[in-house]
Amino acid sequence: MTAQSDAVNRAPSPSNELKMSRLLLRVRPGEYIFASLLVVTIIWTAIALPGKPELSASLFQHLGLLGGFCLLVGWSVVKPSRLTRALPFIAMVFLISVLYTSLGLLGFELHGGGYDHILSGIDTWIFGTDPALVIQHWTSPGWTEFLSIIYLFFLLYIYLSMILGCAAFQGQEREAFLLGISLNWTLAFFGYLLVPAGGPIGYHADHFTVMLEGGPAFDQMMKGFWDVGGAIGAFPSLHVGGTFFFCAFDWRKRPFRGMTYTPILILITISTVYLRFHYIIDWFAGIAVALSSLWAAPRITAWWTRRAEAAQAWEGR
Amino acid sequence: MLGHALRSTLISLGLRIFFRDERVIGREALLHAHAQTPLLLVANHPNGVVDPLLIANALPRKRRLLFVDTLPPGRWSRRLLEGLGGREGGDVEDLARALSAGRVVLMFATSPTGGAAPDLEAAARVALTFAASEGTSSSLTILPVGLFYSEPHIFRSGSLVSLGRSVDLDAWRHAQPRGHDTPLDATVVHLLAETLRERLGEVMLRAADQDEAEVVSWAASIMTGVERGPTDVGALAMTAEDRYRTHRLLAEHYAILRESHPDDVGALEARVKNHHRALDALGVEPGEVHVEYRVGSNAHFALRELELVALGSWLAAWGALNHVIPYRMIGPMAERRAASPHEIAGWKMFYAFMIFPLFYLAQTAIMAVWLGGWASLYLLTLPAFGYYAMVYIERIRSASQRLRGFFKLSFNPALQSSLAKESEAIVEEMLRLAALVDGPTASPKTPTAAHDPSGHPAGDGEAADP
Repeated sequence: MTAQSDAVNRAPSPSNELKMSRLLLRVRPGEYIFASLLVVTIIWTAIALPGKPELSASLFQHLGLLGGFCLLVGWSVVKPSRLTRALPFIAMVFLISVLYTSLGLLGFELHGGGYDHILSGIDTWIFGTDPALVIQHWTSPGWTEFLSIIYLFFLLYIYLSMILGCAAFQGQEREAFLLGISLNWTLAFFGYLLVPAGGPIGYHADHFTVMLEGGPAFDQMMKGFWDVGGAIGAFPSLHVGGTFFFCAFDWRKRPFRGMTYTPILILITISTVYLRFHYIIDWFAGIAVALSSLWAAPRITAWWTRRAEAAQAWEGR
Repeated sequence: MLGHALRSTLISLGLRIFFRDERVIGREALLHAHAQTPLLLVANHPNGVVDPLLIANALPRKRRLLFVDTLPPGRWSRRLLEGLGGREGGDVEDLARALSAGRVVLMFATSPTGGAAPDLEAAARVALTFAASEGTSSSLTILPVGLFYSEPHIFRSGSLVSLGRSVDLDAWRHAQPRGHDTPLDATVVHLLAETLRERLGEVMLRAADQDEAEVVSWAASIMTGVERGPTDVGALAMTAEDRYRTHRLLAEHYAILRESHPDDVGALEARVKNHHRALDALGVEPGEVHVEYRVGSNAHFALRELELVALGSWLAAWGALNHVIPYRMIGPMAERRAASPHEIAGWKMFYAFMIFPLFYLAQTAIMAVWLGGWASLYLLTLPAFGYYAMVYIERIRSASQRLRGFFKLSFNPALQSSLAKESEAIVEEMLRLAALVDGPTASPKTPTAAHDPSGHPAGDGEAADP
């Protein structure tokens, strides 16, 4: 008994490295992934800065966002509680709307222009003509207004899905859900950085012969569109990718909700081309991003949990 | 082969529509059924329409089923069931030959109308005839199958196929005393029938009469609610498997205690009935008395249901509108054909499969007048919208039930507490009585020797055979 107590007393206190690795394992994989998006953005902007001094504002903006995000994550791992653990995710939801504009614009600045000609070319190669130009002949104020409501409904859908998903899922399932959201948006934002595009509304502005006309929802949507930066962030389509992600996640876990939203997913997808915000290739890219997130999130979560448990077991020896 | 694959797919699809929750327990008993090993199934028969389909769906896809049953008199329904492998009053020799040809043969030991004790002599005779025809190389597995429906009288009930301990016929015959191993000897047939009766008894729920079945079912619901303990309003779903396990354990104890402690059992029965009446009068389910009505979980439930009710209403309305006429038609047809109220839902599905496609074609032809080729899209969406309408109505019913529970109980905590206490007292009394059967440390939750910890009968093996 005495020998045991002595052994316990003599046991060295955890080293700083051990403490650090324990803290690092408390950071969620989704938080690393989101932070890596900001880090890549900052490095790329810094490299481009000497030739483009106008990027300095963007560099400082993203440095500030990364710093704030890291502070919140740090706080949540050092003083873990329900509130502090929720804060990085809430911050991510806020950052999603900020980064949509900042990265959408930055992509154009880093590349010195967009790649709409390639995306429109792919659509034309597949369909023989650009579908956005064909569809203009079938537009009507009623359809435009209806599809604008559907397009705007996307925002309500994603926030409702996040709230209800966080309340409904527990344990690893919830972690996989949160990681899937982070992955989906991070991959899409990388798309904005790598393939900046404004969509048919900008690229084909001179080619459309029919003006879109709708009602108050259409006007509100267009006002929001110009407020967040105009024709940016087309590839991949997050309207399609985000809706597809939540809908497919629901089909696996809550089939009735998945069923309910499937027609809305179809309508949102149609609305993106009808309203001239996206090419059809953006749909495929959005779906590919969603499928990758759906595939990777549970696997990364399971791997991360195993790692954390193994580290705990090792410490408890 | 293509016909068989298509049939299996249609059965699987039909059952998915028909049942809310479809489970198979003890599936490992079917592992050897992937090969062409002769397999004879003996089952109880609570529903004259869907039982063979449920069993066919639980089998590996490549195995073809032949089942012996009383087929309906209607020409089309009879042909359809024959197409699915149905035979009326199969000849013993024919069935033995079907086993030799690699078919899985299913024989029902009870009647859907209930009453009679399981009859397994016919199954024993088929098995032994097969053994006699195959000689020493015969190798037949007989598998008991218990079928259970959580709400047998409704569409979208829960269903459960419980596969029990198999009997290896060769091993069984070798274990018989000398002189009792001759096939088709009346004593051997009787002995095998008794073994099968015992094995089938382990997986089926039995009740002396309707009254007993109801009391045990209510008691099982009360017990499941107490076992689950405090829960959120949105987490009350109970699977057919939950109900089956509790129901079976209670029924086993009930049968013994009714003989040994009739007064105690009578008093408990009266208490269960009174409690059930009280809950029924309030319109509350047994599990709901244990719900913790907290602001957070209530808000989550309300938001979740409101979202789906609001968004799903147009889909459900479109689905209902497109199916209302054929649906109204099949109701009376099913009622006419059903031998018992439990079969009505099964016959509805049966007629739906025959009548809905005709209506779909007619409706599409009408739509084609306006839509042209786009009408084919309308045709493709019809089954999906019909299914959605059905699930939506089910969801509305369930949400209304939770809402009723919320209004009755959350504003009257004293009533909820007294009902919860009475549930707990009933379960305590059940456990006390169970201890009289199992011993002081056991309870109905304790698995008996014949069952594994999941409550399922142990796998076979020759060691388990006599």
